[in-house]
Amino acid sequence: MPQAVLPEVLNTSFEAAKVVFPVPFVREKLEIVNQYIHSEELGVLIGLTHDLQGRLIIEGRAPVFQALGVAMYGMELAEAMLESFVGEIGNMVAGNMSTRLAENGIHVEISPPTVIVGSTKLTGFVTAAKVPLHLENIGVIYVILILDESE
Amino acid sequence: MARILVADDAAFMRMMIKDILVKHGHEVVGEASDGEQAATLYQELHPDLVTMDITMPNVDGIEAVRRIRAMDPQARIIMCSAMGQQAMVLDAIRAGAKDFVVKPFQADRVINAVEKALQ
Repeated sequence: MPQAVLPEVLNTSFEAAKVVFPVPFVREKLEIVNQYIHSEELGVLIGLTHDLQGRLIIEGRAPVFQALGVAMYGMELAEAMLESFVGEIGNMVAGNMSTRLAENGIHVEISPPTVIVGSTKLTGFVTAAKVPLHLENIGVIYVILILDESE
Repeated sequence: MARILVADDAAFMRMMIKDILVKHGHEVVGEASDGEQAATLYQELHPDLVTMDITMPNVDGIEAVRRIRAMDPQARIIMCSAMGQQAMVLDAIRAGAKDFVVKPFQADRVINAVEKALQ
């Protein structure tokens, strides 16, 4: 089941992003990633459990998240507060996604966010779907979805 | 003016909620980063109201509402969560929450919920 619902879950994450991000964005081409993900500078990982097991990762460059903070809250964020903001971005997108999936009968619980700081290699999955979102006048962030096959 | 405890695992979100509350004349008497700390601080501080996230480490927000309401059945608690599905809202209300604000929120929505809960 997990890979069969991947397009639906991914599309739902974009719908959630539309609610959270205050600017229009363009979805660029999906890339299937094998073996590892490289988070370049700053990101957030949210665990997905219950009907689906997996992870939602949002990552990008710090200046892009800083510009997003200004667009969303009118604030220049830095260091620990910027990292906390990125965690909250993940929480809001995953939470909204979870709410929307529940409306379609898919019950997904989300974990508290794990913030990823610095150049980081993430392993421990078979395939991941990675989609760049080009946020107007802000820059590119990457939405990465990993759905684990249930036993 | 009310004395308010803010519980959220994200320092950024605690800052945002505090800013909204203080700008509207309220006092934030404590901040908790998980549900266990929220229950402990409630017992120490006896705030007029609590804003409570749901997805937090250690003890989640709904369990924290149960613990606080077990200590004080009159406790006024508003949920502020990114998870807005019906089942979650019902769980929170059954646990004793007065209102449920879904993130991302506008300042007015938070203030309306606070003022309604304080009436």
